[in-house]
Amino acid sequence: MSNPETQRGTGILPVSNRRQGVHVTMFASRQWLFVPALIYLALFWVVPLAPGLLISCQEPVPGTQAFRWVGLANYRTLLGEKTFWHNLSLSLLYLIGVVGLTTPVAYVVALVISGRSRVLGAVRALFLIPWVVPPVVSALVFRSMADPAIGPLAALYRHLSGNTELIPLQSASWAMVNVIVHSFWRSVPVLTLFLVAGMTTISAELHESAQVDGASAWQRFWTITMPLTRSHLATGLLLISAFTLQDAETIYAMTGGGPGHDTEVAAVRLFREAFDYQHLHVAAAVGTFLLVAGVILMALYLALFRRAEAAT
Amino acid sequence: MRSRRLAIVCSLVALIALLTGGCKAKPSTEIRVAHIYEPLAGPVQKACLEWLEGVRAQFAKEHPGLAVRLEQVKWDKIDSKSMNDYQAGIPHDVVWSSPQLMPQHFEVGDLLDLAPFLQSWPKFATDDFAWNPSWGICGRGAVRLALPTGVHARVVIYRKDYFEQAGLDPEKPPTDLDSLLDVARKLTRDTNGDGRPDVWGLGLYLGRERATIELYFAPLLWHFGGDLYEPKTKRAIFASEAGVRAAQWLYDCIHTHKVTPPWAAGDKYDDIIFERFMRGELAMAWGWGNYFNQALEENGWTKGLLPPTPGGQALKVGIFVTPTREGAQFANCWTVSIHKLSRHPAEAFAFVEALLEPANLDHYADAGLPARKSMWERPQYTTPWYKVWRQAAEAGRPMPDTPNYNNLADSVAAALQEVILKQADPAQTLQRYQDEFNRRYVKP
Repeated sequence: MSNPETQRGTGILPVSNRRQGVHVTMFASRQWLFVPALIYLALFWVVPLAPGLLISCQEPVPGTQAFRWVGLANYRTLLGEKTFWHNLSLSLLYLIGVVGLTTPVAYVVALVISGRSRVLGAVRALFLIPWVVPPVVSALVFRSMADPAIGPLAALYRHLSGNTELIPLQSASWAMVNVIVHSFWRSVPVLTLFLVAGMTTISAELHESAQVDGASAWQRFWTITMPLTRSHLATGLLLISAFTLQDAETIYAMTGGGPGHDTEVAAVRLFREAFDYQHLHVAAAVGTFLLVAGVILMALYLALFRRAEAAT
Repeated sequence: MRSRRLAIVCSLVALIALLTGGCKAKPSTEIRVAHIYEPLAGPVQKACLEWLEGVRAQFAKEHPGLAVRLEQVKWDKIDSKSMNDYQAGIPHDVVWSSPQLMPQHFEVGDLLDLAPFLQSWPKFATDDFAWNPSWGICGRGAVRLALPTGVHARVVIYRKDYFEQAGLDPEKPPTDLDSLLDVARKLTRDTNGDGRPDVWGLGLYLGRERATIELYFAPLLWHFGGDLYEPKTKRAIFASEAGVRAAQWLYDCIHTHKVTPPWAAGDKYDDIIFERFMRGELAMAWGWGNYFNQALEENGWTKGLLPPTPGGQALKVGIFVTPTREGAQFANCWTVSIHKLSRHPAEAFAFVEALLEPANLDHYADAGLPARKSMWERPQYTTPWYKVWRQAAEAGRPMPDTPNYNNLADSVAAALQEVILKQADPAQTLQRYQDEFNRRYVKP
């Protein structure tokens, strides 16, 4: 019977054992590769998140800088409020409106500008302008465009509603439409950029073969372009949804959450609680709800992404 | 070699001395003064900054060891900045503050009690400020958190020429709510024949800003015998019968009598009350603040009234006290306080005293009206114009003693917008918002 230690030294270890030894060593070394990611997670996730969650379970002690533990009382207060449910439903409406409008339009724009030409190359850069304009500035521009006296959007809304006396930002539904249209205007370039990137990776031969086989433009889009850009769509939508869900500044600048509470999405509520009412503890609780909503969305988009990966 | 090293060392020392400012003697103590400033808010803000610079220069001259550093904050964020900075451990020394938010300052504890400093003041000096409608809410028992810098009152302003065109006597403005509506109906006109009024009889602001509760709903509620809040039980009580009458009265101005423009329920207070009145779209504007008066003087609508002179006259416009019953008017002011985290409270109070000196206060544009009662006796404040302002100031009431004032104001504004824009039932709507406020803030 030979000693394995001696065998390893002499290089006559059985093949299976040798592989195991190599695997163990590699696994041990690979584990270290996780460390930077863990440090990143700790620094950028846990450190900012933990105090937020902690504050959401506390309330300030009057007259001091201290906070006291109240458990889930802040969450219970919010959930018992009709206004908060209204805030959440508006967030959902905002998200659905922006994503629902942006996706088809971004596909159309991406199809138009993904062709290979110098002119289109220049146009592609111009498409990003809405994204680079500071959000508060563009929100104020949209606010003035909805002004009943001078605004072209106000004229459009009046035409669409058939109400010649409509004051858009004083109407619950049209104020929300204006908020969604603004966010849609900002989001289209970003999603377009992702989709164009996806479309350029599709081999032209695929389209040519489909065309030879007699596939219509719509069939080619539905069976080739759409499935092969699904992962790009998922990434782009994830980004847009995160921005939309967290968007407080543009709505605050455009409508202040009004009329009444009719454009006060959860992010605006968070802003008001933190900076108008100085209720950081309640704002933190609203933030937790937004975080949970964000995680759910992320899971949905990742599922879409995985399906797309599996399909391709 | 040795001399070269010496030269290098000497050069380094000189450089360090220069960089650290060692060549110039610096004042030993710096006072951080957080004041309101909004560059886009017009020439008054520039005048206020120049005034503050002047006080600072004079103070530095009189107190060689002290330097004042000015910190500019937007007017509606200064109170929250003070509170948030206190929570975050960021110190200030002198801070501008708002009486409406004083109960919240009491709760947060970000402001220092000024009572120990005020003990050195003679009684007449304290009494000179104590007449101010905001004086009461800035103190609790022996504790005082703020001192007023002026008075902000609101009146109804009107165009005399519009009165004449409507066959009304411009020297006899309305005195009660019924006559106000009657006059407003006569003043509402369609000048270009398109079937829509171009001049509205009565301008009101019913948007989301605090002005809605302060200048319109609360005065009407008080007029009808109600109140906003009950400090004893800490409950909001605005959904009373008086509250419903107040909401209905405002609703009727727009929808029933059609004397108030439908856009009154949106936009910004300044845009509606100030801009639209100056553009001639409003014949009367309820909620006109003394802080708008500079534009009247610049447009030649008044003469010699700002800065006030004994011979000052109102030429194109007139004013009258809001025609709700006496004491059912709102007044406030800017107050000055000392931050709890101040490292130099005694020096900070010395600067506050410098600010409040009559000679300095006289030129503070944002003070609005004189903070010191004794200043009202000067001839320039005894003209008919300033008599109306004084009457409005003395009749003024502060907002209720609640630490959740911002939320109360938002609740009332949201309820009114629902009543006016969605034509919701006033009683049910006010009740719903009141219940939500009470559920949240009234602890069993």
